[in-house]
Amino acid sequence: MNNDSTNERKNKLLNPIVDQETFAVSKNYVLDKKQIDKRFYFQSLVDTASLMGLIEDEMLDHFQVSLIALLGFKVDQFTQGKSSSVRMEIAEMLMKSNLFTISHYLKSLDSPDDALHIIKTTPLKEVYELGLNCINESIKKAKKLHKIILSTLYHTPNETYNETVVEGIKGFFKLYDPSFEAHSIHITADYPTIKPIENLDGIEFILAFLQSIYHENKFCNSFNTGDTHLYLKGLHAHYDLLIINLFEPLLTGAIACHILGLEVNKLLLNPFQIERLYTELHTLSKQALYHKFKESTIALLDQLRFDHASSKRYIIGVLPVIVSRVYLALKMDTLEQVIYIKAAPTKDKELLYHAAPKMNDELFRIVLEELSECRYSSDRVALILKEVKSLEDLEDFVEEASLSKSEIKAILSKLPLIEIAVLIERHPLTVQISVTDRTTQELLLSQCLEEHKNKLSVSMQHALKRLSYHLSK
Amino acid sequence: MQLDLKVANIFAFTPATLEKNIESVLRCNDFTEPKGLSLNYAQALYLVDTRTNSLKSNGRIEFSDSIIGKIIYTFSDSAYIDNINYEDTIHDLIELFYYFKNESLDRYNDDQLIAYLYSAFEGYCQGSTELLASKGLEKLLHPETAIEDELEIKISDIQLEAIDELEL
Repeated sequence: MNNDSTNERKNKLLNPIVDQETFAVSKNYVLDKKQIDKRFYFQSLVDTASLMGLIEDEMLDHFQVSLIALLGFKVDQFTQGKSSSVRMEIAEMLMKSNLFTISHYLKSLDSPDDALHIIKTTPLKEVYELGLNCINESIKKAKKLHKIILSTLYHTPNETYNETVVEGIKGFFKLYDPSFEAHSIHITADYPTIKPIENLDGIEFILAFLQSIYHENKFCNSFNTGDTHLYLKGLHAHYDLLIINLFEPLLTGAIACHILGLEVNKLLLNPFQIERLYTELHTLSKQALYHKFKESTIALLDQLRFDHASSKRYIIGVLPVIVSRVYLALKMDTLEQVIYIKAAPTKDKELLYHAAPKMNDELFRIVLEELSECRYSSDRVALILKEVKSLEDLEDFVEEASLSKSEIKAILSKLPLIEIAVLIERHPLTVQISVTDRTTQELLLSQCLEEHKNKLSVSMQHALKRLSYHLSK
Repeated sequence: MQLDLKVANIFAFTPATLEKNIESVLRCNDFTEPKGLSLNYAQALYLVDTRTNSLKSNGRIEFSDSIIGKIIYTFSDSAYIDNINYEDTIHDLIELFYYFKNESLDRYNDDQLIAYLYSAFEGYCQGSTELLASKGLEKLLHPETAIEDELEIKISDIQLEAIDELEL
């Protein structure tokens, strides 16, 4: 190779502007969209095009040089021009971010052919800038979608759902930096959508996640929250603590109800109906099951007056997930593990009693000694009210200090209603309880509580009843 | 041929960039020669090699060739550098620069770090890069300990004086 040609090649590599004559673009190639890896779009596009002979080696060199130049530019921005070197992991992070940004723009184009045309004719730095604009647009779109989701949130006690959909996404918007970490998600997004979101990073992942949540919420909100709560309780009594997708069991339950000719929005099934469903479905092939479920879904969505076209498409699109699970359950004869029996409505436990820490043994002994030295009952009552910090301590003193009926009554008269309710809950005076199960002092306490309750005014007794009703056992 | 986008791989030196870096080091002679300091081609090549190795061993990547030049410009005024120890000192300083940069988690920018190295080299190190290597990082990261060290030095000076007096 002579010197002239070497210099010419050097100039081409160092000059970021593409020589249009050298890299003349042919319009005759066709790249298959499926061949291109969604996650590493730019790299995959270049590799595929190179294998098909659509990109020359010189062009690959040009891409390499352009990417290094772009990385240098971003490092300069990252260090604010004050440091010429960075740690390798920072450089790798910036490189990933740059490639993600370029890929984000290329993916927004109609076809891989268009994407290839762009990278062959436009300097990569310009493609990067276009990508950055695209990302900013996607952020705006995601924020808008999140706002809609928050205003139409599916009300559920499920912690993962609430933590991810509300707080997690807010955290993402706070941390996301498209300039240097466009590919990062930052949050773990623990709540699973029915179809896992794969092969996406950064804002692309969040946007896809929010879109799924939006459609799933639309469906979940078609039901009465109380009904869905009881149905999901049939899945697990503590479903609120589980990391599960909430939409999937609801859709499966609704389809089951529809097939059985039951009221779809009630989600009310019994074991016999599940058995009937098994008889009806277990002979079907997977394909036939899919068609049956699809027909039922379309019909039940109409029944629920579900008229969101895009959400309908999403629901139909995820049906194969449900069909696979139900098909497997039919084969294994475990249909009750995918279609649930609604839990019986229970009273809402709104009050929870947390005992204060008990006094230590030494202090307890000292107080006990002092009590034994007291001459008057009023002194004993005053001492107990002063030293006792929890109901458990009071119970211990009733037992150990052998408090008299009048002393117990005097103490009870000083306690707030809620503490009386807790004590009644713990020491009920019922005929079922055998005398041998309790000590004399315990029975005395139960008796005093009953008498104290009966002495209260009607309104106070009513309030006490309500407190007892809402008290968590 | 495939696109190699591993950052560590794309920074392999081509002869062209190596030559460019050597030229950049040799250009410093214009500034240092009036001060009696100069480097030949082989020395410049070794300095570029030291920079490359230091970057590799510290897991760093550099996008300009200005650090050797900045170190030379700053240290050419040193009272402790002459043409005999010039090259060796610059080798040591390049290594220390990247090591300190990494260990301080990039808390200091290039100019701040070079200024610190110079003041330490001219100050308590009295031209010793070995002392700079052993004490410099700790003083950079924990400037408050510097005061304690100074006190220690003063005490030891007093003790030495006392011993001298005894010997007399």
